Amino acid sequence: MRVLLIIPAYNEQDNIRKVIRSIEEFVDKKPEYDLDYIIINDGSTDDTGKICRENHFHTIHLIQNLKIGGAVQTGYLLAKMKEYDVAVQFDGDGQHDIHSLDDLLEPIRKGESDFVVGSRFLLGTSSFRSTGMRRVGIRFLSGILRLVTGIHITDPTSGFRAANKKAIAFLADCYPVDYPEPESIVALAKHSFRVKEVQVNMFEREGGVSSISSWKSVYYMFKVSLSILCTSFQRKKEN
Amino acid sequence: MSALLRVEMIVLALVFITIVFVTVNKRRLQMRYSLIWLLISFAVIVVAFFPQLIMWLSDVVQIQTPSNLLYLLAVFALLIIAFSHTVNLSKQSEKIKRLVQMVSIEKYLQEEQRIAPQEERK
Repeated sequence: MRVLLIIPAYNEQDNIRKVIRSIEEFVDKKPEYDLDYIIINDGSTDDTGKICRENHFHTIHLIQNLKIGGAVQTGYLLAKMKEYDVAVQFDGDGQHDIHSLDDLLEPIRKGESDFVVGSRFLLGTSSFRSTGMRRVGIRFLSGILRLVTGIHITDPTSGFRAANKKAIAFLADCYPVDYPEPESIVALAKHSFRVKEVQVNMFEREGGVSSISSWKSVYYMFKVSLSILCTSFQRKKEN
Repeated sequence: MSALLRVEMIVLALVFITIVFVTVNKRRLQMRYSLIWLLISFAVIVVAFFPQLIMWLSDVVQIQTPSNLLYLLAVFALLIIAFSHTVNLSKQSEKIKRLVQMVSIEKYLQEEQRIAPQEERK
């Protein structure tokens, strides 16, 4: 099984080296499947690009900033072109724990799921602590998601996700731009992909700023809810 | 409709048509996008020459003054045009996104091929 880690990175000069090192250490220990990674440098304005070049990290340097959605989709495109069996989204900020990869891949290896979301909250065992407001927001999104898809996802904004070949092809073709995580879950569910959630470990942010600031969060919630509702009216494409 | 308003309409329409032509000739506007503006200008001129058209129409839809109907039609026309612009904008940003992605991937693949033999030697 060939697995590609898609690592979107925008201004992650403080974290990217550590992230790649943790992946390389992980690869050294576990040779059960072929694990490659690709950093998508989304037009960073700091030294992220330089660090990637100097260390010869496998990096696609986007020639224009595309925002998170367009960056992640670039990874799915590459995964599709190079015919990887599984693509895993893995944040470039060091939040995700590579040691949860096995758990994340398990449902796909067994052929039970097409798309697996890594959750911080499913069993409550993650070391991740979230603020009260953010939790309310996540609960709310989770509720809407359940309403329109019938699937219970406890962590819809999680960016630690795995897709099998079929889902890779779908996501390479259409992936939302702005706040893509919840919306893409709805799109996948609406197109009859089997979506599952597993518990993963995540860390607190170590450097940089989260893409969601508190001031923008109301606007964020509104937009995400709207896009979820909008996507839920999508008709399944006939093959 | 007063005679003065009709004259104003004709003059403005002619000025606008001229501007459209000049802009197209300078290649700052594509011909196919100029059509809608020429069409609107032409409609304005027709209405100025035959105001009974608008009078009759405002009678039918029961709007008291014909000029109000004109404004209403103008607002709707601009609304439709502005909407179609945002649709086009979305299409184009999707195309640009795909373009950026493919060019960036292509660059990476070239780089990879250049580096791969070096790594094997190591």
